[in-house]
Order: sequence, then C-alpha cells, then structure tokens
Amino acid sequence: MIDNHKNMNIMKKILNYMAVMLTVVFLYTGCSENYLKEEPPQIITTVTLYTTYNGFQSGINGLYSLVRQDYEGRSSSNYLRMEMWMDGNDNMTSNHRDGFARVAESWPNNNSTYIEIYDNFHWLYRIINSANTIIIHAEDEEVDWSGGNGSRDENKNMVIAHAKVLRAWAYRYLTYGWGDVPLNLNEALGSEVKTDWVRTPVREVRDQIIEDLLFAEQYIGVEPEFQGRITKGAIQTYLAEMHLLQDNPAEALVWADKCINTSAYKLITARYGVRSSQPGVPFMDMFYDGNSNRSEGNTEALWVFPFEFEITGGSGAILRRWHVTRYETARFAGKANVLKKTVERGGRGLARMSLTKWAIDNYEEGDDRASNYAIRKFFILKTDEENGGAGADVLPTGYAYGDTVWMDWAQDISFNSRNRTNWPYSRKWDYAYSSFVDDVFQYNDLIYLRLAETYLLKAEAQLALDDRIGAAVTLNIIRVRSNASPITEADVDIDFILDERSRELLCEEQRRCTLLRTGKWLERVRAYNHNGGETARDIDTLFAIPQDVIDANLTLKMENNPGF
Amino acid sequence: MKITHSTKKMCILLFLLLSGINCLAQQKTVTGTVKDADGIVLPGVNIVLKGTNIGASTDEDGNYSIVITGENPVLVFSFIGMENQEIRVTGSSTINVTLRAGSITMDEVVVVGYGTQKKRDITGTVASLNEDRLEVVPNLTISQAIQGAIPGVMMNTSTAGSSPDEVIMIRGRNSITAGNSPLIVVDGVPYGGNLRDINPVDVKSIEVLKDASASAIYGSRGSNGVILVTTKLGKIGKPIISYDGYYSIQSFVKIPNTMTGPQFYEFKNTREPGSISASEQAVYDAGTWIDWYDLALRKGHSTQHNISASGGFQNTSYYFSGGLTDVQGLAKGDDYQRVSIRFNLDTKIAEWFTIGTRTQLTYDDRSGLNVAWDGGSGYDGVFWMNPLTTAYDENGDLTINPWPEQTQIGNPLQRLLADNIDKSYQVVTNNYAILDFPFVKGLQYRINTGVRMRFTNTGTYWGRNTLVGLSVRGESSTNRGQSENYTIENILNYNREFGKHNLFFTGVYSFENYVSSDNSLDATGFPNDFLTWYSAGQAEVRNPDYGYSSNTLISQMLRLNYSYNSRYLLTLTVRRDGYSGFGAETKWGIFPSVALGWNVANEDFFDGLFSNQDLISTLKLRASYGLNGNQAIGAYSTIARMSEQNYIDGINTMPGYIPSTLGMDNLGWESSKTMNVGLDYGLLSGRFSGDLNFYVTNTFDLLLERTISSVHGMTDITQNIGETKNVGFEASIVSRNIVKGNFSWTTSANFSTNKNEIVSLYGIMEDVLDENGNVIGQREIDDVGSGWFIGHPIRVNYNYVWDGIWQLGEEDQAAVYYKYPGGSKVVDQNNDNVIDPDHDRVIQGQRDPKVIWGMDNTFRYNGFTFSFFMYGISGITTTNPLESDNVFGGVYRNTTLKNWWTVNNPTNDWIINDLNGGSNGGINAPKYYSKNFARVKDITFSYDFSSILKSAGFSKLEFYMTGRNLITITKWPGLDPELDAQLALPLQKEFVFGINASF
Repeated sequence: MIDNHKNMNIMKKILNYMAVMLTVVFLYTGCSENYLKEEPPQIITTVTLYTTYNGFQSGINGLYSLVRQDYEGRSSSNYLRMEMWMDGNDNMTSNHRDGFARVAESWPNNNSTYIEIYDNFHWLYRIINSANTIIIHAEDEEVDWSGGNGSRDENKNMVIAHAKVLRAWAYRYLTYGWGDVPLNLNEALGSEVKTDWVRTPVREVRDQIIEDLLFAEQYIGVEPEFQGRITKGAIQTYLAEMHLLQDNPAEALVWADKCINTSAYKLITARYGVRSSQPGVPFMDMFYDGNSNRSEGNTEALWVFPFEFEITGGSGAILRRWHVTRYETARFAGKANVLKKTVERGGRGLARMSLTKWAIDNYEEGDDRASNYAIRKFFILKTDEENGGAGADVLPTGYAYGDTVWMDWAQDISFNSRNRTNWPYSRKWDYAYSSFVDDVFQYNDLIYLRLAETYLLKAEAQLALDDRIGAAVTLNIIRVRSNASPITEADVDIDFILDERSRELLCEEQRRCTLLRTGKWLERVRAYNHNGGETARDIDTLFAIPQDVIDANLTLKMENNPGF
Repeated sequence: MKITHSTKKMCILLFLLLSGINCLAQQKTVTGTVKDADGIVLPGVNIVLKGTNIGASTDEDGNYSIVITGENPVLVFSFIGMENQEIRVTGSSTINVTLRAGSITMDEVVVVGYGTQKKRDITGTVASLNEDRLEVVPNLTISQAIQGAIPGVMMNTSTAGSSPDEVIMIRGRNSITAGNSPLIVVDGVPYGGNLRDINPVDVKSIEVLKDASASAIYGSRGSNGVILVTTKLGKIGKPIISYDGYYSIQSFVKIPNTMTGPQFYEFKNTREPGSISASEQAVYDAGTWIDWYDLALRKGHSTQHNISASGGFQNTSYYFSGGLTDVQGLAKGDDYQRVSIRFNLDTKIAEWFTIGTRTQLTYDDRSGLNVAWDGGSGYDGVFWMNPLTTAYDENGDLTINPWPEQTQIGNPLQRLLADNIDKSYQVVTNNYAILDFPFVKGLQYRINTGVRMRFTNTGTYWGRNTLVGLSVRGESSTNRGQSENYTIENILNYNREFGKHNLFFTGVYSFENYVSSDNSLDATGFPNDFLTWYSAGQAEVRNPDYGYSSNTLISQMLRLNYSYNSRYLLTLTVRRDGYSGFGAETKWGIFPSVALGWNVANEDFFDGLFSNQDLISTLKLRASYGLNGNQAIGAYSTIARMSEQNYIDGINTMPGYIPSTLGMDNLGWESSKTMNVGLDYGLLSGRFSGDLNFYVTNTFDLLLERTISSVHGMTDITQNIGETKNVGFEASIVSRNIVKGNFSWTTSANFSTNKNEIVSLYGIMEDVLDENGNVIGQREIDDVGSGWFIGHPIRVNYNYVWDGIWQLGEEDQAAVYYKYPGGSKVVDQNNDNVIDPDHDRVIQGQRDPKVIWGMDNTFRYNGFTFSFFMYGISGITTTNPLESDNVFGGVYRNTTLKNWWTVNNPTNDWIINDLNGGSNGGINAPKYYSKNFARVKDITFSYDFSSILKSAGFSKLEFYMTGRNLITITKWPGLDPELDAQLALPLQKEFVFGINASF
C-alpha cells in the first residue's frame, strides 16, 4: 500500500512534469512564429526598391542595361542579339555561320524552336515587364519622389518617361519581328499567371508604342541626363518611323523635322576628337573610342550605348567579334596566315555575318563611306614593331614590308564559297582592347541612333508625300557630307533611299526592319544576298512565335504565324 | 513566462536527481559458458545487461564474465546466426547458455529514429544494410556501401573521380522540381553535410526508412525517405584496438573513342575541305598528334589508414578512431585527402542519468584542379580538343596556345598550372543527456543538442602561363564560407510492458536552424604572378561579394507503438512542422500516419498448421498509411526578387536592378500519401529470410517549377500544383544456401521496381474529340513546354524520332523535308510532309530507372572468405552526348569516331559528315539508347589469420583483396551507364589490398 502510495506521488509529479513540458512546448510554439519569419537582409524586391526616387533610378538603370544587350551576346560572348535584324538582308549575309546566321543562310531553318530567335522574344518581354513594373509602382502614393535636380513631379514623370520609351522600344522590335504580339502592360505577379494570352493586332500595339513615345517626348531632354540615356531627338526619330509604319507620312515629317531643327543636333562635317590629327574622314570620327558621345563632341549622336572595360556595369559588346573578318588566316598570293592579329586591324573577328558584294560595291568613287577608313579592303604588310609587338607579318613571295595586300570580293559569298577569310569588313566596329588582342569583347561606347537616320526617315516621308525635290535636298545633306555627288529629284525613289540608307547606315541600322517597313525585304534579299537569300520565302517576313510561348498558352490556342 | 516555467522545470529535475541517488544498487559478478545446440563452444558471443551499456563477450573457450548491477537484472546473449536469449539473473552467479540457430533477423535491434526497436515489433518498412557491405568491402564513402544493397534505393554516381558525387533517390521520383534526396540522420541528428565526410569505418549500422509510417516521424522531410546512420560504440570489457588499412590502384573502365590525329585530319578535310590550318598540317606531317586522354590520365592510387580503440569500464563506453584517406585520382590534378577523427562516449553518471557524445572532426582537402573534360568554351576540354595540336613547347612547358592560329583555344591541361586550394573543415558534435525516471519504470527524457559547423576555404589563381591568366594579367578568385547547423531535440520516451501489453510512447519537440554565409573576392590585373591571390590588394579590378542564407524548422512529434503479445502491433504517429521558407499562412504542416502489424507466426494456431515448426519461423504482415512532406526548396522562395543589372555613366557604375523571379506568397509543403503493404518472412529455421513490400505513393501540391509564357517577362514560377504517383514492389532475400561444418555460402539479393507517373499538373481540362469532331470526354492537358505529360513518368524523352538515313535514290522524298541523301530521316508521324513540333514529337522512354537490383554472394571456409557483389539498373533511355557532330564552323573540335554515311558506305548508322550534318534547314532527331547495365561492383577475397595467430593476441587478422568495377555488361555506347555526366572524367576500376586487424 505504501509503495503504491509512493508510486502515485511520483506519478503525480511525472504528470506535473509532463504538463510543464507541454506548456513549454506550447510557449515555444508561440515564440517560434518569429523564428519562422523570413526577413532576408540580402534580397531586394520591387516592394522594397520602388519606394524612393533613387530606387526608381536604379530600376531605370537596370532597364537600360537590359536594352544595351542588343549589342551584346545572348550567352555573354556568343550570339549577337542584334544579328537577327542585320543578317539575312540585302547588305549582310552569313559567312562563318553560327547562331542566327544558320537561319539567314537557309530560311527553312526559321522555325519556332530556334533559340537565336525565341530567346530574343523572351528578352524583349523581360524588358517590357521591367518597364511595366516601374510604370505601375510609380503611381503608388507612398513613393518619396524627392531628390535629384527636379521637382517631385518632374522626377516622377522622368522615371515614367524612361520606362515608357524603353517599353515602346521593345514593342517596336516585337511588331517588326512577329507581327501581332500579346500587348502586356501589367506587372508579372506570381498569383496572376496567365495561360490565355491573345495576340493583339499589330496596329493596336503600334498605337500603344506611339502613345508611350508621346508621353516620353514631353519629359526627356535634348541632351542625355548622362552617358547612355536616350534623348528627345531619338524619341522624335522613333515617332517619325512609327508614323511611317502607320501610313501617316505627314506626321512622320513633323517629328523628323522637330529633331532635325533642334539646334543641338548637327551632322558631323569636319574632323574632330581623338584621331583628328591622323589621316581619316570626318564621317568615321564619331565611331572612334573617345569620340562617340555627345559630351565628347559627337553632335550627331541621339543615343549611345556605353561600355567600359572591367567596371561593374561596364559589360562588353560583340559587334566586332561578329563581323570583322578572320583576316589572320587569310591567304594572300598563295600564302596562308600572312597577317598578324593587331589592335589596328580590329582584333579578332569571327565573321559570322559579312557584307554582301552588293553592299561593298554600292558606292561611287570617292565616297568617304567606302574609303579604307570605313570599309577595310586592304592591308599594309607590317614589321613586328609596326604591328605593336604582335609579330611581323609573314611575307608572301615577292612582297616586302610596306606593300599592300588586297582582299578579294570579286565573287560574292555563296553557300558553296562561304567561310571567306579575305573579305572586306566595316570598320565602324573594329575596336580591340590594347593589351589583349584576342579579347572577345569590345569596350568602346557605341552609337545606337544618330541624326543621319532622322534625315533618311524624313526623305522617306517626303517621298511618301510625293515631295521628290524635298527628298533629294534631304538626301543630299547626307551625301555631300561624305563627298558623294549630289542627286536630283529624278533619282529619288524608294530603292534609291534604301541604297542610300545602306551606304550611310551600313552595320548600324536594323536593316530587316527598314526593308520590312518599305515592303522590300523579300525582293531585295533575293536579289542581293547569295548565301541564303534565294531560300527566303513569303512566310519569312515574320518570325515564328516561340514554341514555348505557344505551348505555355495552355487554355487558349495561340495560332502561330502562317507557315509555322 | 518562459523563464518561470524553465525554473520550475529545473526544480523538478533537481528533485528527481536527488531522489535518484537512493537507488544505487549492489554489484555482482556472473560467469558461465555459451554453447550452440551441438554443444560446441561459441567464442565472441555478445552479452549485454539489458537496458544498459554494460556488456562482455565470450572468449575462445566460450567463457564469459560480467559485472552486473541493478534490480532484476536480465542478460541478453546474442550471436550472429543465432536467436537471442534473455535470461533473468536470480540467485546463481553461474549461468550457462545454449544458443539456438534461428531467425536472426527478427531479434535484431533496429534504429528507427528517435529510438530503437526490435525488428519483430516494427510495423513500418525499415531496411538495414547488410553488415557485410560495411565490414567486408572497403568503401571510400558510405554511399558506396549503400549502392545496390537495399531494395528501392537508387544510388547513382553522378561524377567519377577521387571524391565522387552521387545522387540518392528512395522509391522513385516523387517531386518534379523540388529535391528528391532523402533526409540523412547521423546518430539521431539530421545531417546536412556531405556524406563523404563520414568515415565508413566508423559506421556501425545504416537503416533506411521507406514507408510513410517509418518516415512520418521526420514529417516535412520524410517523403523522400530517411537514411539513419549510427556510428560505433565500444562495449564494457577489454579494450579492442583495431587497424584497418588498404592500398588500391586504379585505372579507367572506358574512355570515349575520340578520333586520332589521322582520323581527325580526314574528318576535317571531308567536312570542310581546305580548313586544315598550317600548324595542323605541320603536326600531321610530323606525326606528332596528341592523344589528349593519354596526357590527361594517370595511374590512380589511394591509401587509407584507420585506427580505433573501443571498449568500456564501469559505466562508461567509448570509441575513438582516427582515419586518413589519401587518393590520387585517375585524372591529373584530381587529388583528395580526408582526415577524420571520431570520439564517441557514453557514461552513466548515475543509474538514472547518462550523458554522451558523438563527435566527429573532418578535414577534407580537394585542392588542385582536375583537367578540363568538357571545357568551358566548348573546345578546350580533353574530349573535344583537336588532336592536331601541340601540348608542350620545346622547353617541356604546357603551351598556352596549343593551336597557334586559334589563340582563343587554351590548353586542356592548363588547369594543372592554376594554383588552387579547396579545403573544408567540419565539426559535428551531438551531445546528449538521458534521464531515466527512477520511479516510473520505462519513462525516459533525452535531450539532444547537435551542432554542425563547416568552414570552406577555396581559392584559384590563374597566372600568365595560362590562357585565361594571360588575357587578364592574372586572375584570382577566393571564397571563404561558413555554415552552421543547430539542432535541439527534447525527446520523451515511455516504454513499458503490462503483462502482454507493450507500450512505447515517444514525444519530440525540436528546433533546427541553418545559417550559411560566405565572402568572396575576385580580382584581375595583377602586377605579377609571384604572390597569387595574396596580392589581390594590388590587382586593378577587385570584386568582393557576400552571400547569406538562413532557414529554420520547428517540429513537434508524437509516436505510439503498441503491441499485444508480440502478435498484434500498432504504430500511430503525428508530426507538426513549421518551416521558415514557406509563405506566412502556409508555414505549418501536420503529418499523421498509422501502421499495423501481425506476427502470424507467433499465433498458437499457426504452430499447429505445420508439422515442422521450423518450416516457417517468421511471418509478419504489415500495412501502413500516412502523410509525409517535402520542403526541399531553398529559403526565400516565396519572395519575388530582383537581380542586379548594372549600367554605367562614363566610367562610373550606375547600380541597377530588374525583376528576376516571381514570388508565390502562399507556397507550402509538397505532401506525399504512402500506402505500404509488406511481409517479413523466415523459412526453415531462418535459412531463408527477407521481406516483400508493395507501395503506392501519391505526391500532391507539388513544389512545381512550371514553365510560363515569356510574355510575363519571366519563364518559370514555383507553385504548389500537380500530383505524381509512384507504385512499386520490393523484395529482398537472405539465403544461407549451404552451412556445412566450416563451409558456408550465403546469398543476399534485392530487387525493386518502380512505376512513376504524373497524375495531374495544372488541373486544366480539354475536350477529347472523336474522328468526327464530337466531344467524347475530357482529359487534363499536358505541359508540353516543360516535357510533362499526364499519365507518363516525370522524366521522359519527348522528341522527334530517328529513322535512319536518307539513301541514294530517295532524293525527292528527302527534299520534301529539306534533306538530301546522308541526312537523318525523321519519322513524319502524321505523314503530312512537314516535320513540326505539334505532330511529330513523341515520348521515347524515361530517364529514371524502372528496375534496380543487387546481389551479394559470400563463401566462407575456415578463415577464407570470398564474395562478389553485382548491381544493375534498367529502364533508362537517353541520348549519348558524345556523338555530337557539332564541331563548330572551321572544325574546331574533335568528336567520337562514327560510321558516317558516304556514297560508298550507305549505312543507317550515322549521318553524312558534311557542314550541314545532312540537313539544309530540316529538323534532326537524336538517337536514343538504353542505359541498362549489370555490373560486378566488387569481388573480394580475404583470409583471417587470427585462428593461427591466436597466441599473438589477435582477435582478427584479415588480409583482403578487392576488385571494383571489373566487369560491366551494357549496350550503352557512352562513357559509362552509371555516370550522369558523359563528357566527364571516366569511371575508375580498382584493385584494393588491405589488412584488418584487431587485438
């Protein structure tokens, strides 16, 4: 009995203890909610970033950095994004093919699973979502807009203006590339995933582009706030282009003139800047490192993409890598591997896309734009010292240092005669980093849009309004600057304007967009592009909507473009 | 509040401590002899005082002596191959015992998580690793021991080398995009570290919890199964010193048949006539082409030394061990060193109070960069590298530009020149206290405190003697990381028999926190190469970075095991978990399970059924059903994040951000419901034993990273949607085929199948139409973009179908598909003359195994042991990446030698070797191959000299020789069917020579 009693006591104590344990457990649970709360110190969200003017500025910086990728590679050093607008045209063809050059060389490759095409589609919508997020959060009442140079309203409008113009920029590419595309003006949210996107008619998308551009044009200044930002003139130029697309040449002319008549915007007509004491032509000065920006004397620039070697945010472009010829392996007078890779020659190129023979021969004698300063057609054989220590060129039999070796563009590039290593190349992009000639990137600031293009759009508007005299006057302003002979109204037709655009904007304009806008792509690519041009079909005037976009539209069948 | 309660708790503890001192009991010595049924004395029988760590073992004459304490002491006698016996010590101090051969498996004590149980009483599906796999075969890591030895467990080597990586998956793939790795628990505490840091020599047992009932005690992390690792502890008695050491030599199993110099020369000339460069021509003419594999590989060898001391005195048991592993891998630069020290201790401070530790220190050194196999840039890996190049210059140094015309192509061996450190230091210390409540028999409180800290130190410097270093004038990257894991577990056990009723109750409250942080510095532009990363301060460009992550798990668990008369068994468990990584409203989950067992063989009626009582010695039926979770997503997954995207103004950085991931603020557990029906059997006095299991696992609310339309600006998001199902069957058998005198032959084999299926994804239905366009039903739509199909396995191959080669005479048909003779034919599924993604892609096999099996045969004769272990997997189908003819324009890289189609060789094996790969805009289809294989993993021969050298005091002196990966049967054309990566270091075969001695 006593034992039992004792046991009972112990039992009670144990139960008591367990009760305490359970209470403690319960209490822990109460406190534990705090342990389970996530407050990551190292993560930035739209909610934390978009509360101040400075936060929005860094959103705009991110947006510009994404847009600048147009001159960069899809995978760092490979697959130039811009290539899909430049290659496969009348003035550019595939040479050592890779990336989009595979499509440009054989248009049946233009399909819905082609990564060089679909990844650009993804990228453009990334830009659109980033812009939408800024535009939507900027309307939040809580934002502290103080800071910077302007008033609170000015700051807010400036932020929205930049986001809207870059959204318009992305939709511009989308409409050229894919026609009708889903018009998305919302911020992507995890709770609002859509599986029933609808393709908006291209005209409506372009109306939205114009609306965004018109808003931005009011607030963005004639001079960029700093290097790399867009200007009022660039927006006016895009407005002119958009109105041409919407069959409204009169409005296009108004916007082109607004830009041209801005006193700060002037064509470069005289030598200036870093190489002004060396031989050269005025036309090429603005492409040299140190000369490209408006702040460096380039009055013609409307938008310049900045790059910088090994600075965080400096990135690197691959235009040169994608275009410059593999001259170091070329044969001259029967001798292979004659030339050394040097900075002066442009460094290392892969010549994924090269000029067509038509583009090289599209100039009259004496046109600065076809001089060896602008298009590399020959080399001077140099000694090790003259090559800056890169080694002496190997002399072909019968040659001496100082002699000239010429590229050979007698026969155009064709499917059976591609991989040309002695082919002329544009020098607008030939830049190499001085201490490492093999570097895949270039770090010079690169012109993205300049006033010459505004003149050419103006001429296009004038022609559409049947003002051929005016168009000839406009075109002559461009021609005279480069020592090409003036033309008369009799010379002006749409083909002439397209020829002139090629002469002036070789390796700059998004040629595919121009040719599609004027309805001339299929005709001209077939006529002048002999490595793939003949394979172009009607359906190739549009790219295929990416298969993963079609596949992810689970609840509503999204039709692809005809033929895909 | 909390403090008050804690104080109260302390008071009660103190009270209990004081009251416990009264019950220290008197000591007594018991001696005796142990024999088998035939009267032969048994040396090495384990004798343990029940409920304590006090133990002894019989000497060579079968005699023992043990000091016992406490009230109503019970001695447990156990010996491999014999049934355990429990004998209550009454008056006599001499107890002689006869052990009966019997159902060995059912009396084993098995670790089940938060405690141990007799195998007989287990209701869940718990598999133990065959001890031979740990003891007989030398293993570098414990995963090597697990491979093929437990049914339903897939252990795949993902990369070979000196410290191989592996993927472990139990009972198939449940999760589509969250983790599928099991939870690993070492000595009772969840272990987040690397398995290779645990020295397999220190491991006593490995158990795998497979069904919901067994693993539900680990709740939110149980759905992928649980692996319990228990390390060794000594027994009270004479100290045992053991040495285990081996030396092995390694060579590769197979290397890819990449082209030799002349073959490549011909290939290149055929593909792009005139593309041979001057230097390639010179190498070809001189005959000095290179076999890069030959330069990259060497003879591998490894040595391991382990020494341990174990034993116990009075109320203390201990196990100390130190191990050194030194591996020189097959590939140059692939070295691995591990030093591990273990310190396990249990001490009974009072009859009712025990404290102990399981502590391990590991130093792991993987410094040195292995040569490049694939090559970051795609052409300077050993596999792809052009053979018509030059590896060494006239001074015998590695060339920076092995191909002078292509200065962007580096030397595949340049990684050997980089300075590299890669070291880690780990401390795992689990310390615990056990309180046996003195007056409430069977009540026990245990507190576990686990701390794991790991420090990593890595650094690489590329000097100007490498291409990468030359281009940026020296490049360094250094990183120091620290991760900490804290676990506190309060465990309350109540285990008591009331007559025929046995009750075992467990309650757990635990808290786990994981924090990791690292800081790194990348620098380029060094003034010189002398000081490597030590002069990062002088470098032109320096990029520091700091990383951080933290997550917390809080859990409560209750478990009740009840058995009646060892016949009817019941287990109920429930666990509640809170995980910081989930959304605010979805942090907590509850995971219940129930299991039933019936020991049919213990029934009275059962004995009457058979004339020979030993015909069926064990028969247990088990059934369980329960819910498990999977939390395997990283911290911060619920938060929509932005990533850095910087810009510049002139030369000034302009910080920038863009939205990078979508957040799901209601993200919660992925849950699995598992039904398991099993049977444990023992036949003919335990001559055959094993188990059979059948299971169905439905996993729902998947943490699914689904593809979304890029119109959102993102292409994927993680959501709780969808359901998968795994149905499987597992069987294992241990058969003592022959036991005759000194000779025995034992076979243990296991076999498992798993059928994996996606049941549901987004729940979006579409109409099913008949030929006339009438709606005849509905079906859920697939996610073609992600390659997920309702009713099919998670990982399938969805692609166009290879149909051989277009031949001469088929020009017109080929042209329809933009092809020409020599190009690959693609099956036009709907014969519409267009190969398009909607109609011509089909499912072609799965990438997870359907069947896994393993078989171990052991033959013993006196001191000789011979064993061989086979392992196999079947059901996997994949492409072979080594076949790729994508050698780039200009033929920059090598590939494997194939039977290319030519006009004179109209084969169906492989396409024409031309620039277009036989297509001029047409779509190509890859070839798929079966990855089935059967492999003789180990063959071991050993001899134990201890019976000869008994007088020298050895209880064991064994010499052994093992051959590993010697024979493989497979049709897989790639590098190795066991490896995930095919463009990688080849798998090694090895010969191991070792000694195992104890005295």
